Amino acid sequence: MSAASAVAFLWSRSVRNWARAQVKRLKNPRYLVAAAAGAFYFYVLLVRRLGTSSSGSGEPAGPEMQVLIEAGLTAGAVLAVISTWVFGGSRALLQFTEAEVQFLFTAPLTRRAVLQVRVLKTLLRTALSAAIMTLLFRRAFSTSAGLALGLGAWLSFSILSLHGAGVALLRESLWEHGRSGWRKWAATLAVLAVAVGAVASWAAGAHPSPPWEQLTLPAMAEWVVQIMGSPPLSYVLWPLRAPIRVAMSQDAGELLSRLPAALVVLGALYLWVISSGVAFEEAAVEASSDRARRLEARRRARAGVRLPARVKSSRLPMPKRGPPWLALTWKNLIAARRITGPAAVIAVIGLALAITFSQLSRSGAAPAEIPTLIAGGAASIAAFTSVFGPLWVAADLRQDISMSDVLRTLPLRGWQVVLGEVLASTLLLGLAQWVLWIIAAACAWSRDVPELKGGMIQGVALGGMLFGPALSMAGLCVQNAGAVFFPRWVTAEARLEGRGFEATGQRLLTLVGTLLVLVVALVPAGGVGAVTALAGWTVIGPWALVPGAALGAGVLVVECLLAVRVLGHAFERIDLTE
Amino acid sequence: MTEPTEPATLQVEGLGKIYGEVRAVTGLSFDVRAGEIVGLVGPNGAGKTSTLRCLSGIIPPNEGQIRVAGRSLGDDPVAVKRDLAFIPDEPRLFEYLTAREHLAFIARLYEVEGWEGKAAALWEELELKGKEDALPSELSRGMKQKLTIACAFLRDPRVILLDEPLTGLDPFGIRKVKQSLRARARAGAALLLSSHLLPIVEELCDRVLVIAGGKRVAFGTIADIRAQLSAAQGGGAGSLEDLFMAITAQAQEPRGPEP
Repeated sequence: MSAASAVAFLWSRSVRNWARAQVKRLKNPRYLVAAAAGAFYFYVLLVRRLGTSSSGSGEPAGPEMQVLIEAGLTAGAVLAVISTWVFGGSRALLQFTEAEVQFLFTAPLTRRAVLQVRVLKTLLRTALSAAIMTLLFRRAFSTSAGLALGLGAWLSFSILSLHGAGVALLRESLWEHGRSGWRKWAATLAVLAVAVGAVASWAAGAHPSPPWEQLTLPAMAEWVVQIMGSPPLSYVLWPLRAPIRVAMSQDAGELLSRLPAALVVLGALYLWVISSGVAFEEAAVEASSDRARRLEARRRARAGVRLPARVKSSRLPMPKRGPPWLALTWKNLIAARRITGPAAVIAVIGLALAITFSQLSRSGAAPAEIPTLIAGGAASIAAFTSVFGPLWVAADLRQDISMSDVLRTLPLRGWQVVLGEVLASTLLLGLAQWVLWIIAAACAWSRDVPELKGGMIQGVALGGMLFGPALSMAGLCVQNAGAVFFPRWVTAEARLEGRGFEATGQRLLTLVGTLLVLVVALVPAGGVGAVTALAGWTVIGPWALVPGAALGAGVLVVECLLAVRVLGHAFERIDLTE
Repeated sequence: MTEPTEPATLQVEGLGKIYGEVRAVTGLSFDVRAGEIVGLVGPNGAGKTSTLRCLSGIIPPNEGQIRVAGRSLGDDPVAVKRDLAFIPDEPRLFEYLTAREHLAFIARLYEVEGWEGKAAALWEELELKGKEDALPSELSRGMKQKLTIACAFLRDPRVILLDEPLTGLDPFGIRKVKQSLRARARAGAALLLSSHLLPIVEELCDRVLVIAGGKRVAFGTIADIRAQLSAAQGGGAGSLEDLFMAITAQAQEPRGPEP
């Protein structure tokens, strides 16, 4: 009992102190503004939505659609279960914090009690996620009462989570026995694969799908009902459908009649997990260290950036001459290369291919038109990257702000630090845009398109190559301004793991700020560039885009350098303890 | 220190810990008597942290027996853990519990009667007065370490396991903590202190356990170890640092192929 009350004390006080810490920070007007923006966003998204839902504006889905929704959710749950077995279950349940490892693992608690603490924490967090999901998607779902949807979502998430934990613990248990354990695990997977295959082949054979031309919504719903309602599939799906049926309940009577089955499934999985005799501690210690490392990595390099286990040696030479702050640019370029890896390159190529083929399929163009479409795709991505690239490429102060104390010990002025940091991201984005513009120009050049004659290709490509990187630099200045003026947003974001009013408000304000400042910065630059290009057009035609872009880029760069001066001044006064 | 004939408070026999294919600790046996401070030293990767994690119940050992006051950690973990305290090298505290709430949590978890009085004494002893309502983020590294030590001392454990407990403390803090450790030993606790700071180990510890490659390479008083080494090498080593260098160098000498 003392253990239960101690854990209750820990959770309640932690929540209370967390709330107090957030409120305390609101004394600083900058954070108050962010929290207000976040609160307003949540108000619009959740509270007003709740109001409109309760007034009954959402039309409930018809019975056929409900059947299909239920079938879709069940299929999703089946996929989740199969992937859990194939990939060995989720270790999320074993992710204790380092403090929990330190205090709970050494406490006079049984292994089962420690596991119970973790499971209960997971169920509570799942309840919160389910509540938010219900508020967000209730209107879109519009098939059931809010309480039923919330309960069903909580039960579904909890059941999948406990199932994942149970499978992970089972795998740990088998692996404890070395090679024989591996054999047992492989045998388990083989039996599962055979069972899934048998059920799938039975379903396909016993209930063939209606012909394509007769596949109306009612016919499809009837077919799905037949398949899911026939044994043995109905028995296999029962534990997965139980919580989904709770979510689909239309009234209180239906909810009450469906709830016990889902609770039985949840209870059985709960017992399965906490009765596990496996020594999970080692995996938990490892997971908690992993978690701590990830948090640290996020703190240093923002969310989503993960350092590889082994880093490659860099072939990028440090410039032999040049200003000292260039060392920061060099450092960030190397870091960017190490954290980007081949995955990012593959993603960009994939995006380019997807855009090209979507254009191809939409226009029904002949294969001969492919170069033109590639040119269009590359130019679109280059333009897109020049505006939105600064949101993704963060090889700058955003990754180093938590080390601002170290940066300030360098024999550099604040503006030099900011310039050195911002330049790395600018170079990366500029390089990407140059490559894309060259691809676009080369592909367009190979086609004999009259509209692109007379220097149009060269004018657009060279103009883009001049103006795009300057525009990206302006966007990067805005992003880095966020890190300099709101340093805790960058460092605290990791600690909050991207949750809360303030974190949401931060993202909103950053996005709005980026667009606003870009528009403001673009007015003089765009004006100068446009006037120059228009004036020159009559004389040199599309080539006039080049001096226009060059002048516009020049104005933008001057604006950026002014912004760097201001940011440098602010950087020298950063206080991370605020 | 109590007479050596008394049964040891902490007894470790044949401890072994394996991570996958790696043997971190092999056949480690030693004991710590009530009122005694034993130093645990060894080069990086020697298996000190793994040993302490096994002894504190954080991870289970693969082999061997750990007994506290005659009870086995494997057979009766709840009762044994009640008598154990572990102070890690890095303070790992709950982010949103104040210093006082950390002690309240420990008091409830270990059912410590009248903890407020003990806590008041600990604030004084460890110079944490005035920081009772601070969150860990508001404390310095040294203060966090002292709070971790306070959490361990609050419940008067019979065995205290310390992994580099003086890291991050200022000279005043180091002196205070050393005094506190000696006071706990005098009160009858058995302390196992892992540290790379050999002068501190030499100053505080009654006996020293040297491990290398997960194995025990020497165990005894510094005088005993010096005598053993002199007998083996025919030379006299001076300080614990000299002894440590000689012993670990001996343990890490390349051997011939296994038969």
